[in-house]
Amino acid sequence: MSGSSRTPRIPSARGRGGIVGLFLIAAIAAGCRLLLGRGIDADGGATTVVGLPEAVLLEIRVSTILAAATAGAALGLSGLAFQTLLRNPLASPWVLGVSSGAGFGLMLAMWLARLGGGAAMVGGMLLAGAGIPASAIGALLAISIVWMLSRRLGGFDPVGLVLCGVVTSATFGAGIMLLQHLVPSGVRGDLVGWMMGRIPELAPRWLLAVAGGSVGLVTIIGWRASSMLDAASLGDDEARSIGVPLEAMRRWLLVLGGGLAAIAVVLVGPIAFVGLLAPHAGRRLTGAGHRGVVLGTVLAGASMLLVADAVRQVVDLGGGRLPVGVLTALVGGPAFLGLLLQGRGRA
Amino acid sequence: MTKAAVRLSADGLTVRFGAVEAIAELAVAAPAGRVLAVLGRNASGKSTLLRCLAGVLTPTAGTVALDGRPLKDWPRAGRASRLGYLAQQPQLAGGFTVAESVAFGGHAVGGVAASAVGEALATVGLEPLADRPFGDLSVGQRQRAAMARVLVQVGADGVMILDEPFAAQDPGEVDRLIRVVRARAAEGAAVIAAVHDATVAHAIADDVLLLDGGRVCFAGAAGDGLSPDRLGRLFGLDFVAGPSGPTPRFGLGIMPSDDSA
Repeated sequence: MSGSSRTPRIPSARGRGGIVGLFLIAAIAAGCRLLLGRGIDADGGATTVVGLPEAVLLEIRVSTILAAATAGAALGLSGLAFQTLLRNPLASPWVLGVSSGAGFGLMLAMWLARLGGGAAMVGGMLLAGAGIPASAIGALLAISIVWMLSRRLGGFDPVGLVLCGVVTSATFGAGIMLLQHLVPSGVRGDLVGWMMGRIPELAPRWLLAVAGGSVGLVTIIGWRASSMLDAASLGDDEARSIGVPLEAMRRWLLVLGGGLAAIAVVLVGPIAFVGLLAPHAGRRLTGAGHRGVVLGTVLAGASMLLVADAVRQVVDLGGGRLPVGVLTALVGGPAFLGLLLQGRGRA
Repeated sequence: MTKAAVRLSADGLTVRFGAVEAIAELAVAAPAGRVLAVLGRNASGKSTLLRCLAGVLTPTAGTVALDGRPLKDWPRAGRASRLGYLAQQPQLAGGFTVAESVAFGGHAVGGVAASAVGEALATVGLEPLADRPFGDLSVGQRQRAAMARVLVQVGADGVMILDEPFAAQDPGEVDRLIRVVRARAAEGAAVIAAVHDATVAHAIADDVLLLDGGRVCFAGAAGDGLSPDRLGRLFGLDFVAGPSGPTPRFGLGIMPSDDSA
């Protein structure tokens, strides 16, 4: 019986309202994206077309919507895992160097593919499926390095992890710059587009299934572990004294957060700020308890990429549709600064 | 007086942080129904000792046993429901309310009744602030909220490790906390508390442990340990016997040679 009255306000009425609101935003954005596309007008110029397209185009749009929603949710959950792990509201998949690790993996594969012989064969294999294996290996390599470094530094303490992430990120960044000198500029063009973030119009179905399944699984884990995540908001010693298995919990957060970040990078490239902002939006709209925050973060992350992808269908500054990563950064950067200035000290 | 069962005991406790030895070869025993006050100058190892006793810091050497069983052999829930810890600086991130912070005391056993949370908050005088964000509280209020959490966490006869919950309280609240602790001890709780103020120690303690440089310089009955002479030597300051226990004579005493904190 005692369990029933525990943490009675989570998720609260406000939390439920926030979750419903976020769900509506995601649904409306998905609906808009379904009806919005690019076409050619009478003068032969590009224009925005509104309406349900024919079957082939419809399939592309549905696939794009699924990719955007899944990647956004994965980025949000990954950010939430890292923010909880590091007790740092500014943490995100970027802090752990996952994005630069993935970019490095892709660059390295391109460089190998140009070398000829056995190296070219390896590079070609890594570049199969739009470079998915290469970027996934790079992302996982970055996470493994951060993992091993922080272990060597004596455990998974938040400050040590941040330092390891920053060092790893900077090292992979330097690696990318070095390899850029070695890869012909024609090939590099693709990489620049990928580094800006792009939502694939026809991602492989297996990839969408893996990404969607992972997001669903982590959401369920987060929901079930929510009371532990709540209790872990106490200081370390206090959390341990009330029976929170802090070290094991942090290991799980690192694995799940890193894994989701890798999946998101493979799917849409290193999109900035969604992983950072979605957990904040989730917290603001659903309250303090992680039960609501996990769901809110999933919906907020999905909404952000869906809205960004819908907006870019109608915004053309002369160079075609804006890259989605540029859009999220343009909106996300100032929004994050506002968050910083407004809510200092509240995580 | 019959000899009460020892609830929490430690032997050979040594903690090194790198080259620094924080505590060395400490032995402690906390019997049911008694309050042990730990006194010592800043950085004398009080908090390190208390963290080891609470099982939140693994000592470099030595063992801690709860009801005769080493801490590491206890299942998480069983240990948490018997052994509570109040940190010197309670922290809580994420916008939880004061009542929610207290309810965390029931985490390991799957929850705690809302009435128990309200009762504990009333005991420490924070009932009016139950729905306020924990982050809005002052240091003293946070410590009292953490005290309420410990009260909810361990049963009336549990073991409570309290790291100086008195220093940031006004005199009325100090008195309230002393009465809360004494009431728990009367119900059979074993309490170990770090205390700075000799008059508080005089009011609360059955036994005292005086620490100097991470080593025990006195362990025994409060009446013996809290003599002006002994405290004077420990703190390097003149103490006089007063009606509320030994009282330091600030501003006139022998100044301490060096205070590393």
